[in-house]
Amino acid sequence: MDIFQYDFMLRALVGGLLVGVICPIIGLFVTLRRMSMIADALSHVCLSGVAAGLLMGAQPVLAAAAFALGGSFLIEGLREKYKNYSELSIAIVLSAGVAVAAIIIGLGNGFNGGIMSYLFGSIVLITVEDIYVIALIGIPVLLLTMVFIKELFAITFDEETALVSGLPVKLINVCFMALTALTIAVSLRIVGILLVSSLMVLPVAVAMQLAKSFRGTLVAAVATGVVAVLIGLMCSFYLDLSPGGAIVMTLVLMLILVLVLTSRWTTAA
Amino acid sequence: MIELTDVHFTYGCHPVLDGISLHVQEGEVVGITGPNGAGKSTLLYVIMGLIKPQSGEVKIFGVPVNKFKDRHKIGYVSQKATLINRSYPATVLEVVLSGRAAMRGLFRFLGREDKRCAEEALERVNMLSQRNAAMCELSGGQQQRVMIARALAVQPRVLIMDEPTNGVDAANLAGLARLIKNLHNDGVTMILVSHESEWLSSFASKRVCLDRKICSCSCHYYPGEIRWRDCMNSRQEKISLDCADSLVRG
Repeated sequence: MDIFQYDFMLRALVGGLLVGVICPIIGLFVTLRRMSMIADALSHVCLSGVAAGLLMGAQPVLAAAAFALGGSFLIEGLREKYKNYSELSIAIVLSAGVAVAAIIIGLGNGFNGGIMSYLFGSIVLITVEDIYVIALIGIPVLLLTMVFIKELFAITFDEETALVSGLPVKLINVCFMALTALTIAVSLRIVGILLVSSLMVLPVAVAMQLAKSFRGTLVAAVATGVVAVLIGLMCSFYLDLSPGGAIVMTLVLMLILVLVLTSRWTTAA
Repeated sequence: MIELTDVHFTYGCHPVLDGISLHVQEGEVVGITGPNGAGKSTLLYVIMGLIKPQSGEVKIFGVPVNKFKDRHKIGYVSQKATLINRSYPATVLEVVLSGRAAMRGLFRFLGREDKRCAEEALERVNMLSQRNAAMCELSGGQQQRVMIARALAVQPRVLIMDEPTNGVDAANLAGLARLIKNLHNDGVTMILVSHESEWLSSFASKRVCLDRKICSCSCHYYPGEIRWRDCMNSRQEKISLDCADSLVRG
């Protein structure tokens, strides 16, 4: 296949596969904790990180990771402050992220449109350095999530009982927020800032229709994410589409297909 | 086993627990009842160390609750357990195994021993045959049994249940009472909070009627024998059993 003859495409596939595995795993916990909006808020904070990176000549993905980490701790801190209105913390951080990004992009005179490749992803512009950063952050995120999976499951299922049982709930929650922030930062090069939350949530929506166990849902979500990334990147290459848009549209079509099939099975049963 | 001495707790300027003294001994089944807002759940939170009282002392197994480390000695069935997680994608066995996460410790995976304990706990609540069923496929009564199994999976010395009848229909209440009696016969110490005072009376060896302070407390270890227990301080009245219904407002 001529797709493998291009170095940029190989880089996109390596990065895409890593992101396709990590995003649904973190996304499963984000969805089950009803925190989907946090992914959106942190991805907008990443936009200000990318803009700051471009302005100061730093690695944009690393700058986005640093900003996202700061944003995640800010959300956690504000949640403590507004216990009964925790969604307020997400809105505050999202607004602040966009506001900071708007100011920095203005200072950089739009960065000659370079910011667009971070908004919707770009397979052509993924560098070897980007792949190293994605692997350097992404692999530890994946390993840490698997190490904490039993704690994350227990806390997600019933936080109060987890606290009584002696689990370090606060520590795990802070770690989880940090892992979510880093996942968003490493994914934005492939799917883009505006669509990264879709790669976290849509595979889970598909998986929840297919599996009833936690393990089954996790496996189905990862499989959906990987397949969607592969199909999306192929479409992006052959049809000259935005990779983020192609991946997310693949996921949307997979979800529609699964919803139709499962409703038919339910009717037949 | 569990000892509360003159515990006061206030939310803002609203007193919730007003001088509570209570002793729970090994093997007892303590049923706590009272009207809405009487401080029943707050009392459980204080016992488990989730909230700190403004004054008074709480000891678990002789250790002040803030210094108590052996959390696996306490099994807890939350009031919210069956209400918020009905569509959670998890099997019965996965949920019960999650009860052993803290006991296993950080950076260690659940293994065969954990699975054996989880299956034993499911056997005790007659849910072993459903271990691979999805939680969302179970009835309210079955879900509550799974939650009890999750608490039992750590082989606790005391089992604390907050409103275990939530989500359980009338037909399954008797079955839940039978299960609690069986656990009592196995020597499990239990503290239960419920607004179903009659249901609690069917098995509790000590009944506590709470309305910010303890209005009555009684014990019966043997059928037919009822003895008063001096478990209150001087402000707490010793009135007749089963006062809960008369206390329910409106």
